Order: sequence, then structure tokens, then C-alpha cells
Amino acid sequence: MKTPFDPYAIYNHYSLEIACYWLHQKQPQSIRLCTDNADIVIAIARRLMWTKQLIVETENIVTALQNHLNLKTTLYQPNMVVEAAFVPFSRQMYPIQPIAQWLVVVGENSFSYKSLLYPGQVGDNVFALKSWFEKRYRITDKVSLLEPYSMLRWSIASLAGSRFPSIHFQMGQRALDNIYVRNYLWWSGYIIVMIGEQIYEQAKNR
Amino acid sequence: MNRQKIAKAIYKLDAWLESMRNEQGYTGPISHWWASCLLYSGPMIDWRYEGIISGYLNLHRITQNTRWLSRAITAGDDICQAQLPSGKFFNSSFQVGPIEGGTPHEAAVDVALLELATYLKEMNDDRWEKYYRTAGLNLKEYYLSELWQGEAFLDQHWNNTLVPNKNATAIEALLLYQTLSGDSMETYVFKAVEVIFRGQVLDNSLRHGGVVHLGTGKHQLAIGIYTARIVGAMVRLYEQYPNPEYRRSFQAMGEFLLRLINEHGTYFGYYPHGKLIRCPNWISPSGDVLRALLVLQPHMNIPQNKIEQLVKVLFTNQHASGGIATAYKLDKKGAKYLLKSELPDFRDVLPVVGWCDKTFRALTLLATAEAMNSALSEIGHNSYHEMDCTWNKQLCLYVEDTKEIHLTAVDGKKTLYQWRKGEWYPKIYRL
Repeated sequence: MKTPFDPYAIYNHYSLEIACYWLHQKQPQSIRLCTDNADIVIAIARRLMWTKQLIVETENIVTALQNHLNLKTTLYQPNMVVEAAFVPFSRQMYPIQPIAQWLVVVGENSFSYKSLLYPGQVGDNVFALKSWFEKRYRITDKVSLLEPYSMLRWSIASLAGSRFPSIHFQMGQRALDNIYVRNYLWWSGYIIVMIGEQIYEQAKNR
Repeated sequence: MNRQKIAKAIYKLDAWLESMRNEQGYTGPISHWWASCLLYSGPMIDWRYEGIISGYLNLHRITQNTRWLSRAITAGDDICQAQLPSGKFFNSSFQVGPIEGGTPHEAAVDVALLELATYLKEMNDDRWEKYYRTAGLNLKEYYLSELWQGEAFLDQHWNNTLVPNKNATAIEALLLYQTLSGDSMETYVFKAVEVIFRGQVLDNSLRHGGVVHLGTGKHQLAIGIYTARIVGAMVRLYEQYPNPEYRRSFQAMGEFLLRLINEHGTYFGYYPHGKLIRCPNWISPSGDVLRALLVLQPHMNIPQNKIEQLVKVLFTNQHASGGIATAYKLDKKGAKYLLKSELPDFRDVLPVVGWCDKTFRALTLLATAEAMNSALSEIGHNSYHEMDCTWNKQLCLYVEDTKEIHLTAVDGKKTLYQWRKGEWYPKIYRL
């Protein structure tokens, strides 16, 4: 969906949080942020300032990060070796998967409630995303956000409204407490987040 | 009141706050009413600095021990280093997560800096200018340029809601800035205070005196801890501009706050029609209620037993590690009934820097030099704390020491959460 990036939106905030948590677990010394959207890069960079080197795709983004966060970053050059790559809502910009030891991807899923609200406007789907990912990487963890149960809880919270406020608040709380879905319904969430290790790296490590 | 116990609690809180630092500042996961931020746990420049810096300044004022001033300076330097080119502060949005422009957080940070600057200036210490300049830049470039809309300060530049407690914190910062700079801020202050008057309930119901958080829309929640924060601003305003209307307003707020105090903390607040919201029952955030009652004492009758009751709750809920539990029943938020037999939720027992600072600041208002000196020799080194709690109805064991916070599901002994203090994210997150 081509709308301006909203860093406060629940699906953006929570998807970037889990992705950055996974990256933090791996402790890469260099992370390439694979998108040309400066707003998304700024939202991610705030979470990744513990790493030694952040690598970005355009001069404009280097400047935006310097101006916005006072943060020095490196412009990506072909054949540059990076330990981790992060593809946030930009999978379709990369017909060939970026090369790194670890890849994290965040993408939308048209097999979700969102397509009921905005038919034809969700540009990616979980199966295409997974297939693209697995060409070079083996998935080590995956979650989705805003699957049907989660949307049901939000809907009940919304219907309860101010007439039944304690139901409203408790249902909203339960929806947030269960926002990351790993069970059999993970494929039906609006946002998909995956991390994986490059297959070649795995073979090398064996 | 046992000043020795207060001094010990302050030393333990100080040790705990130190354990939560990394090179960039104070870190740690956050639990709150609106949402909790349990993943990102790195440095944040939010309202935690208000209580920390004010508290350390209070301790230095009382004891003249340079250790406390040096802590306040270190915290002030965290803020200056984290100021962004826009004048805003790095990751200032508390429970919202890592993003700048948090309200009332940035104004609260300015209050901290300006209190530090005022204190240093009184001591003829030239360092005051650095903190004054940093706060001045934030107030001018963010509050006056982006959030001021002619009538009051907005919640965010893209959100037209006028939130009373957020305007109150802005008033506090502007009053301090006005005194230091000599520039009049009255236009902003006198308009912003109208937002507080508009939000205050004056209907002789149980909500009487409370201030509605206008950001809660149709729910019209009159919230205790936010009303308490407004008291601080209104008393400060009254001391500079002794308008009887301000006095009547904060006295009514004081009566409202007294009604919320109970044996386990302070109730969250009231729904419209006077229905009490018992969950969550605040513990460490009640530090702001305690501070409000203490600053109200010269202006109205505050029963001493209410202050002692609140102090006792804070002592009871202080962990061996020094941190203080946040609440009881955050997992039942908004509930009108509180079953005291239930175990607390993980978010309840979790001590949060941006809440414990409020208790720290309030307790320093009750500290004496004599008690602080004599308690120093009695401080032990045991910082290991464990207790039962729940997550998603599972029985869990919460463990904290100086190095980490750990949550394990008792059945199956699976680690659900592990955060090493100072790290930007937990090592394990299976919540």
C-alpha cells in the first residue's frame, strides 16, 4: 500500500520492534537497510544504534540520517560485505535477495483482513514473500501481526467502546498482548516478519 | 515518619538506578496503561530524567554530598548528548517506543535541565549555561514552534488533542525558563492553564477535583497520576502568580488524590458517573501523588496518615534490588473490581526507571541529612530479588539482580523473558 510511513502505527511499530530484537540477538557488526524510504530508515536506525556500521542505499538517506538523528552511516557499494540485511516493506525492490549472513524481512500480506478493506491494494503476499526468502535463506523465526483472532479482539474492543469501557480496555490489552502470532494462523496476518540465515553460511558453519 | 527507612529506600533506589545505566543513559523495559514497551529497552530521554535530576538535586541540597550533584550532572550530560539537530531528544516517547517528540516527556526533560541550571547558577557554577541552552533550544524549536497552536500545546503536531497534564508540564518548563532567561512566557502559560481548567471536573461527585485526560475521548477518564502531575505545575504557578483560582483548583485536585489512596497504592481513576477504576492500582507511579500531597501541604490540610500510608506502600513494594514494582493488575486494565488474592502480572512487578524516578523524587522530599548520613553505613549489598507473578495466566518466577531481569514459566521452566541491564533489547523474548 503506497501510503506515507507512519512510525506510530501499531503494525509498523511492532513489526520493526520484533525485527530489531532478532537482529540484536545476532549482534551483527554491520547492517544494511534495504529501502529507499528515508522515513522507514530513520524509524529503524533509532533502534539499531548499538551496531558498529549502518549501511544505507542512497546519498539522500545518508544525509537524512545525519540531519535527523546526527547519525553517520555508510553508503552501500556493490560487493560490500555485510553481516545482516534488513528489507523493510521493500521486498519487491529486490528481485535478487540481498547477500548477508542474516536476512530480516518485513512485508505486507494480501491474504489478510486488509484485503477485505482495501481489495487489490496490498501489493505482496505471504507465500510470494516466503518463496523469495527461501531461495537464499533458511527461515529461523517468523511471526505475523494482525491475524483474524487479533482483529476479532480489536473489533470487540471497538464495539464495547465507552458503553462497556472495562471490556474495551481489557480486549484492547489482550489484542496487544497476543500481537505476535507464531501458530498455524501466522500466514493470515497483515504483516509478516521473518529472519533467516543464508544457506551457504549454514553449510560453511557445519 | 521513619526517616531512617526513607533514607535506606533512597540509597537502594540510587543503587538500582545506577544498575539500569549504560553509556548513553538510563535503560530498561517499560510497563504502562496505554501500552508496554518490553522489546526496545535501550536509552530513552523521557520524563525519567525529571525525577532523577530533581531527586539528586534535593539530596545535594540536603546533604551537600558531592556524590549527588555529580549524579545529576551525569544525567544532565546524557540529555545534552542526546539532543537531535531538531532540538528534540533522542527516543523520548516512553511507552510508545523509540521515537523522538514524546509529550509530556520532552517538557519534563526541560524541567529537569532547567532545575539543574537554576541550581548550578545559584552556586555560581558556569556549567549551568549548557543545560539552560539545551532546554531553551527544545522549548523554542519544538514546544513553541511545533506544538503551540495559539491556544495551547498540542499532543503532537499531527494530533489536535489538548491534554491537560501535558500542558501542565509545559507550564512548569516555561516558568523555569522565564525565571532564568528573563523572557516573558506568560502568553503561553496563561493560555495553557485554561486547558487544565477545561479538563477539571467540578461537580461534587467522586470525580470532583480530578482532571480528565482529554486524549481518552468518550471515555473521559479522570486519572490520578496525571492529576498529581498537574498539582506540581499549579502550585509552582500559584507561587509565582498567587491567583485564588489556581489555589481553588489545586486544592480540589488534592481532595481527589486523597480519595484514590488505598492500602496497596493509588487507584487509577474514575470513569464518568463516578465509577472507580481499580485496575491498575499504581505503586511506583504513586510517587507523583506523594509529591503532589507534599507540595500541597502548605496550602491545604493533608492528613499525615495518608502520606504515611503511601510511603508504607512504596517501602512494601521495593524489591531487594532497589527498584519498586509498578502496579497491581495492569493485565486487567480498566476493571472496576480488584481481586487481591490474584498474583501480579509480570508488568506489575517490573520496576521501570520512568516510574521509579517519581518515587525517588518524592522520597527525597522527605529525606533529612542526619538520616542520610547514618543510613549510609547500614546499606547492604544483597540485590537479588525473586517473586511469583503471572504472564498470560501462567505461573512465573520473576528474578532480578544487578545484571539482569529474568522471567521463567514455572511449569516447564521455560525462560519467557531475559533482559541484561543496559542492553537495547532483551536476550530472550517469548511473551
